[in-house]
Amino acid sequence: MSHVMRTLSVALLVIALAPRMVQAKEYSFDVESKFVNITFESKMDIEDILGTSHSITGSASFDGRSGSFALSVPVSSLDTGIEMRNDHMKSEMWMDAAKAPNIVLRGDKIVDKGKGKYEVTGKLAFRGVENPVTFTVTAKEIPAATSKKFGLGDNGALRVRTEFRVKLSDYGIQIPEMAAAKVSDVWTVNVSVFAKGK
Amino acid sequence: MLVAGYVLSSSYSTEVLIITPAAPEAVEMNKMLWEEGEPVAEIYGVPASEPQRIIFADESRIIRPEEDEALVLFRVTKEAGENPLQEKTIWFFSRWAITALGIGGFISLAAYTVLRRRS
Repeated sequence: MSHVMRTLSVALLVIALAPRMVQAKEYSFDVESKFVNITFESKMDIEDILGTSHSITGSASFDGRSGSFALSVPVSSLDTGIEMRNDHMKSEMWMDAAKAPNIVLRGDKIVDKGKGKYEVTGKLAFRGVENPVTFTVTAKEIPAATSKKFGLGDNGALRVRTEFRVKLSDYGIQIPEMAAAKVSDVWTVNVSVFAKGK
Repeated sequence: MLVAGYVLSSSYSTEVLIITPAAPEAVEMNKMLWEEGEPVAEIYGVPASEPQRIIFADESRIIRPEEDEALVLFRVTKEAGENPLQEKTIWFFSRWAITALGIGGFISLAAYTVLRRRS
């Protein structure tokens, strides 16, 4: 009798906890470029420099409250609107694309801050240097019917937006004197991407 | 130079919030997902960190969102090599030109005075 009671208790406990044990959903950032919009911005007295990328790969695991992700952006995809400046940017002095062809952003710990906002702690790596980063992400789950309608697959999607600052000197970039008045050491990076459900 | 800077600034500059435009499909989806109280500029693309004045803003690139008609967004597509002329760049070079002209004028005046005394 006691065995039956114990089994019954365990079964009731499992049923009670089941809704809380939400399975994390897997997402892929390997989407068409029209769903990727990344910008980087330097503000100085002479001019603001704005660059973009529409290329990303990576994946995320997200259960609506927490998860993790890893993204990769090719340095070759960065575009400031001036070809010569793009070439400089990819050179050894700046992003050193030959040595480290990708910018990698990893979110290791995600804490739900409510209202669709999440605090992410992770790592940002480029130029062969990796540093810890903390930033806020806004994420919105997109139902399957909508993701299907817009060509993001049949399994729902996720829209992720974030903005954070990057200090170039933390990654070993020393701005040459002749560019110091035009290029800021601190850049603002904005990411707005859609990921499709797997 | 200062006058040219002033004329360009007062007559031909427009305050805009530059955006890196989202693709039409992304804009449509953003509109569907948008809720009252959420930022508006992000529907149309990734906005720059703050508004700025640009010279000779092409009216066809301006968006005045129906969600917030006070916003003036200006689409800039970097892949197309677009780099709008910024007002602050004009003022920066105007100041430099004025300084250079001032120094040049002072040197010329000093040289003229010296040469005149000698003769």
